[in-house]
Amino acid sequence: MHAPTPKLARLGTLAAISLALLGAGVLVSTASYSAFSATTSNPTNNWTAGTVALTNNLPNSAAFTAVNLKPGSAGSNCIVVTSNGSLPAAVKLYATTASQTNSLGSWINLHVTQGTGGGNGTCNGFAALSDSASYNNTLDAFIDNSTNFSNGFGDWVTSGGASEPRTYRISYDVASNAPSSAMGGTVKLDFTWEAQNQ
Amino acid sequence: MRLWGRFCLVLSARAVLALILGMTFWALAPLVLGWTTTTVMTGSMQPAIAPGDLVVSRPMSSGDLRSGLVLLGWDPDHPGRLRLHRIVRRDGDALITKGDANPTADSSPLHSSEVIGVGYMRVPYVGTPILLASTGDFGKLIPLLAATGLLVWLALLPAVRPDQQGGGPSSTTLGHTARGRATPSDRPASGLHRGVEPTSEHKSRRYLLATAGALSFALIALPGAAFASSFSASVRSSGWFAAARARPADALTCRNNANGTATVSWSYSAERPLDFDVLVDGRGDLTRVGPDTREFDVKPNSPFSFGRTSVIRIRTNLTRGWTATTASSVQVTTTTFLWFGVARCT
Repeated sequence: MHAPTPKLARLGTLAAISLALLGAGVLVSTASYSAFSATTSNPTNNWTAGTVALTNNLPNSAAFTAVNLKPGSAGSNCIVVTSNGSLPAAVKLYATTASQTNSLGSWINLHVTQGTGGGNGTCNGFAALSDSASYNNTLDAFIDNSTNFSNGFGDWVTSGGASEPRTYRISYDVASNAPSSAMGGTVKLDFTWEAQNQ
Repeated sequence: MRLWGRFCLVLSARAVLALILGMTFWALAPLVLGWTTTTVMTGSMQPAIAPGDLVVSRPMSSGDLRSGLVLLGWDPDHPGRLRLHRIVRRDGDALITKGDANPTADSSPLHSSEVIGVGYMRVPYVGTPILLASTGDFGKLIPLLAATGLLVWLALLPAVRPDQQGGGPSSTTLGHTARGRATPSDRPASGLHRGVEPTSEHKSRRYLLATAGALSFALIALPGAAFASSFSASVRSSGWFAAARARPADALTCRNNANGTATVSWSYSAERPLDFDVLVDGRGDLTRVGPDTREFDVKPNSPFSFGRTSVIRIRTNLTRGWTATTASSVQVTTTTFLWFGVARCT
């Protein structure tokens, strides 16, 4: 068997490179077709590059059901939000699917403080975190201005890795000068916490 | 056999290097058209697009943007960062996007002014060094760069050793060097009499080296147009707030008493108010009575004028300010003569 010749080396190199360039084109066009021709997004749970996940201690139940409110009425609840993601993520709180009648929202003051402890329908054992952001404004302002992740409230950044909880104490009070036009008014909203990886 | 082993190894390395450079070419060439190439950092578009991919996006007029396309835009949630997610639907100027691997759509929509382009070509794997460098994962980056360096070195080796001129004529396309074989013992001192093969292979090696160098440089210099796609997860709890409403009294009646007074009475069964006010149309508060009171005596020595008829209603004061007045009313006529008088329901 002859040893490989220089001519063979040149021809072989040319062939190899040509095939490889062709292969690169095929690879790119196949990958592009499968990536960009889908018309629906199919949620999967097979993330390999890390995840972001949130739960709270009241799945499917209400954070607040405050009825028969009058000027001076007040109440609060402590909700524990737990992050189970493997990526550090920033968590924001905002309002979704909100509606109100009689402008009641502009007469209810909303206060949100971050801390630890409490939960399960009670604020016993809640301790506020020093140096953390708190929200103090009307429910109306919350509904109008905190509507998605970019304008949401909060400065919690999870560290990723182990399960990490934080308690949000949400309290409300009805302004003592709420006019009679607010009588019978209602406010409905969802308090939504969203985490996005950093 | 070793010669064939070396031959195959070198040619394979050249093929792999050409494959990588070819793919990189597809990622970089569109830049001259003004298209954009970005590195995918996260897996929120999996399985369609994976971290380490380079995605080439082409501009598209906003009227052509429709659901199903993968959009590249400035992420409103993270100033300065890019989002590469699939359009779910349009609401006029707002484009609702969602990462394929995210459970819900992105909470903030993209507006056409924030759109850079539409994903068009995907070059898998080639962006991995950029991904590793920007996440600081040197534990993987350094071996990868070392392996790449090894590949380049192998590709640049002569496939046939210069002193192993095997059987068969050599030819040259260059024509400026001597033909014929050189014997193994005939190692020239200068490069002039070197065999044909090393020179042409030397030239192709130079081409390879130049291309590899140029593309590597371009790849590294690829504008930190990195990022794309954030993972997101959310959880929600509902809130319901309902204000009370003051209720008026009802069943407002009037009865005459034997002693010349009239009694106005009412019923009320809603929430206990602060108090009730007895109102006289046109004259305001007659008096205020407690929350459990349900009747009031109108006496003739109340400061009424002679023969004056008063229209009386009851106002419920749920709180000072939240009130409700009866729609119906009763009438009492008082006749006073000097110190005597009679109040009568009319």
